[in-house]
Amino acid sequence: MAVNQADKPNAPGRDMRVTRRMAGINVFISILAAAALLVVANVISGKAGYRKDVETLGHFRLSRTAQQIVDGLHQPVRITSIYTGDQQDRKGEEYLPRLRDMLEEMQRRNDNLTLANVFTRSQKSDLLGRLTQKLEEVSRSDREVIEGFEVLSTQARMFDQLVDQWNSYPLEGYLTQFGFAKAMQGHLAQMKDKLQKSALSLRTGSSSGLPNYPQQIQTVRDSLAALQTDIKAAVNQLEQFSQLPAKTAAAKDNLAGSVKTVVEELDNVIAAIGSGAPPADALKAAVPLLIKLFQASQKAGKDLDEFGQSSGAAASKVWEFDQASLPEFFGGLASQAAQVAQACSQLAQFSEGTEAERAAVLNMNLNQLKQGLGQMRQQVQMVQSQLPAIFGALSLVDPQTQQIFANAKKEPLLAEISKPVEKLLEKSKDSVRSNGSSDEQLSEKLTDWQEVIQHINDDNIVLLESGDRAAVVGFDEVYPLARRPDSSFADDKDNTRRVFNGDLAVSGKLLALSVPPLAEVLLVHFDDPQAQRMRQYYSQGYPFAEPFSPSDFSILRDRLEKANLTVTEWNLAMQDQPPPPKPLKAGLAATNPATMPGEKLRPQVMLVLPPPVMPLELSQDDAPTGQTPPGSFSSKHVDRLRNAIEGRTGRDPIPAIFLGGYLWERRTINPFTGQRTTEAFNYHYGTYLKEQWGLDVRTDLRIFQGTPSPTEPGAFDVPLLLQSRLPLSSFTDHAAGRPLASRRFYWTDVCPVMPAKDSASGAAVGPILDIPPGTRDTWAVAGTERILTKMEKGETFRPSTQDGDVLSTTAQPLVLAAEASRQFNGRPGKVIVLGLGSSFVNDTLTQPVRKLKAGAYGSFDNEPPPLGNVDLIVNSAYYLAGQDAYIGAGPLVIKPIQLRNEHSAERLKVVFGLAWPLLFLGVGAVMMILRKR
Amino acid sequence: MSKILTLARRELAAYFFSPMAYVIAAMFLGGVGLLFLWGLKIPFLRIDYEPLFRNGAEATLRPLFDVLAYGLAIVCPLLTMRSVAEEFRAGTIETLMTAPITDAQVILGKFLGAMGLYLVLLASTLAYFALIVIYGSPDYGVAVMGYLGMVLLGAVFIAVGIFSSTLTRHQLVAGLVGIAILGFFTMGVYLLVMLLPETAEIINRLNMIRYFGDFSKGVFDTQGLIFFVSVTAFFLFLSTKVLESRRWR
Repeated sequence: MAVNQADKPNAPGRDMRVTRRMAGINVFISILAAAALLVVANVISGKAGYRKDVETLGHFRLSRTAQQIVDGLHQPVRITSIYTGDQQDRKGEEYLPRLRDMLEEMQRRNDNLTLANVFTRSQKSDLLGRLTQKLEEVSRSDREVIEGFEVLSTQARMFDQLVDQWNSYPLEGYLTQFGFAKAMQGHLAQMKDKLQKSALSLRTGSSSGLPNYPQQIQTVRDSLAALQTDIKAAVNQLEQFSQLPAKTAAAKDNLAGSVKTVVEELDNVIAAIGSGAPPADALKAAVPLLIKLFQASQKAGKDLDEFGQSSGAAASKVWEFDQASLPEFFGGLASQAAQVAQACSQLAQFSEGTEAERAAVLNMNLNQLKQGLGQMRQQVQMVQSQLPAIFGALSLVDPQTQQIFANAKKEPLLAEISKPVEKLLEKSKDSVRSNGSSDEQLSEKLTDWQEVIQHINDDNIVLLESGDRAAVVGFDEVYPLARRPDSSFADDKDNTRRVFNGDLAVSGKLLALSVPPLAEVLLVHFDDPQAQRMRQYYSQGYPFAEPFSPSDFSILRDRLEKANLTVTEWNLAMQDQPPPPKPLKAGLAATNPATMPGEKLRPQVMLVLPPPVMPLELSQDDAPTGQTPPGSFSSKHVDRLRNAIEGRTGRDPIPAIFLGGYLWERRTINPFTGQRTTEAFNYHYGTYLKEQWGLDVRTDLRIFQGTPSPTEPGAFDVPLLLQSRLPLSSFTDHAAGRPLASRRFYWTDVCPVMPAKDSASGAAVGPILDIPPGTRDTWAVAGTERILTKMEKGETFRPSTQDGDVLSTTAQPLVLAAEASRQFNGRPGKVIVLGLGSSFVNDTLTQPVRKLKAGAYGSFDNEPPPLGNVDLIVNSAYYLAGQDAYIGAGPLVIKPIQLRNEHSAERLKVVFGLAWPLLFLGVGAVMMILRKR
Repeated sequence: MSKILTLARRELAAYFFSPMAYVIAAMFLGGVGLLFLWGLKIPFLRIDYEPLFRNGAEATLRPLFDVLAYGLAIVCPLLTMRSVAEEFRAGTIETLMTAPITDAQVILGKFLGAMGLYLVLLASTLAYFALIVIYGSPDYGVAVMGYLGMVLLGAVFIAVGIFSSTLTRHQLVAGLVGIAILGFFTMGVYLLVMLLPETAEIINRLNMIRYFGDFSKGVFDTQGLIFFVSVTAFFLFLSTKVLESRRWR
């Protein structure tokens, strides 16, 4: 009973505990289930998710080219973004997030990419440690050479011993007369000194934190090569000295004979002069004898010279007489003889004045001649008397020197140095050759690393590693300045603005790191002194008429190289044929064998810069500098280019991109009549392109764009600013232009490239960029003077076909860039002709684009320079090289925020920074007051 | 549903009938305006943000959203800290629990109420976007996705805030717990990745900012959408369970 009574109150408590426990378990299980559901949902969405880039402008998106490059990576690549800099001008608050976005986007596309970040010093030091290990692995054979060199440099005693040996050489020894022993001592001391200095510079190391093996191996190679040259020179000299006694013995009779003949001939002349005959007769008789003396002296000089040359430079030192070498002495003698002969001949015919006067003149000259010949004989005799002694000195070799000569035959002089030097040099060459680039100074891999070593300590860089190769993408490449710092248009603030270019910069390096260069672009230009003079002249007033040089296209060149295209030059003025194509592998280690089958050659594409132009009727007198003859560019040079394009050089046809454009007329004013005349310039490739490719480059027409006049129907206002940079991006469906459609381009000096109506070439022509059919506000104007005058006066313009203007019609668009293709003996040939003028030269690509601000008359907008223009060339090069997969477009440049002035900025700060938040507080206060009431 | 909306309306009204909503809104907009128009420089913390709205800057709100994402990890728990904790403290929770509504409806109502306030705050930043439209050429796709990301991120943060508010009767503690949880999901994951780099891939999946980053750069990704929705739902579920536990604890 008691038990029952005691149990009763506990029953509900136990039930409660059980209920709680059950509820707890229930909750726990439901939470677990929910968590599991959460995980499953997220895992599934990660594997089978939908991802869409809804950007309308695409500036956070990878470009098509970058996508192709990233998708094509078949080997692991590690990308480390090193963000260590805190310098204000290199900080770039958009740099890191944009870079991260881009790299993550790349990684998302390809699992072979691994991303890492370095922010701290310890992370950087870990990275440097890892890179050092890698670098040591890459440069293993080079390091062996460096170590060998360091060992050699420590052998100072060996050099000292050799110096001592030559120091103990007897003063009366055979080689002393040549100063050889002293010279050897000096050479050896210098060698030792140079070696030690080089070794010291190796130990100094690099400031980047990575061992600078590329620089070290260069230092070692240079030092070893210099050492080898010095040793070889000494060995050669000694060898010549050793042969000198025998040579002297063989030549001495001949040499003595030559000198003797001179003496004899001289005696003959002296005898003739002193014969007592009348002066005129004596002089006359002396002439043939002087000629003989001349010949004998020449022979003696020549014999002595030949002997001296065959015996070495040092040996000829013993032939010195009166501070001149004996060959020079006899040469001088011959010259004197010739002069005297001429003088004698003239004197013999002297007929001026009376006979007495003539006799006096002749006698005076005869006496002078006698005196001179006497002195000459003394000198020659002195030489003759010294000859036996000289021959003796050159023939007699003392026993110690004989021993040196004998030893040198068994083992070359300084063999103890030259052997290790040669061994090290051979090894260093092998390390280069093993990487397939024997003609280069450094192995290709090490060349990559050289760049890494140089830039690893720069602020804010991206490091790419693939296998044992590495590359660095610098801050200024990823985040370049939007404008050229010295731009006259930009103000100070604008000069520091940067634009994100990571897509192009990183993908370009990735491409270069993972595949060999895709093609070789030959910059075809014409450069000779004449072209240079013309450049100076035309650049002053005739845009695009100047002969361009490759240096005018350095930005384009840089961009081509970043697009993994190698760039070389072909100067039509100097070279008959283009540089031969290189093997596909050349210059790069194979990292992706699938892309380099067999021994294929790297495709070549020519980028033909505009040649020098001259007005058709320009005569020699009218030429630019007043003296310059007409341009040296001729049909011969067009033929050179033609041969390359059409494969007549024994190689495959090389496709070409021609840069054409509007050629400004040469305007002159007659100073007397005031009449203006214009002369057309000639585009020298025009005829060829028209006849062989069916493309008519109308360099006489310029594209203008107008806005319909609000007051005159059918007429157009032609704003001046619009004409300097023409915004056109109406690309066709052509592979090279398609990805560029609707992007931002500004062209300069544009001319039409129309399909030639009367061409019998049979070439297929396809437009790349055109003014779409029926466009009314853009036309090609003939005689720009006509439209310029109207623009100056602010008048409207009506394009007219009667005046020669060409308009886009529904039947025929105005083509500005086109491709033509045809066959040459069954082999396909292609050209692309761009009538886009100077749109690709440095000046255009670095100057901001000035535009009238919409709705604000008289004020301007500065837009970034049209760097995107170069994408058309890059795409064209890819297209012609058969690398369509890489065709794409560079990054977009988005119009930034542009405040009208400082005043409006301050006003906005007050309204949106202070008034706007305070408005909320005000509303709250009103609400609280209302509630209280 | 109507009960949830009624509760949400009541919650929202409660925010606006108290000075808190206005003070928070003013502070929020003040902060945004500071970043947007003046920038922020705190040298000893190495914080150096140039004004986003300046000549030559990119016409986008993205950098603002990126900073706000971290700021919200503090603002949202402060916004929601009182939502349930205050009911506990004032004892009104008993009344609420005896009312004919479920715990889930209570939580959802409070969540929607807080979301309402959050959306008003977010909408107020449209004024800054309007400035960018007037003075630049922004990418509308990026802007739309940025706002979507902010809404989704705010939803998660508010759900976490409400959850932390259900854990205690003390508002401040609730706020701190919420900040701690969100601190882990926003910044803690970075530390964790540094400590355990080999598990980086898994840890990164917990990184809310990473998912938000896709939206802020104009990418619509169902992975991020599902993450935000599922995590929001999970924390609301947890909040419901915690609230429910009062019945049997």
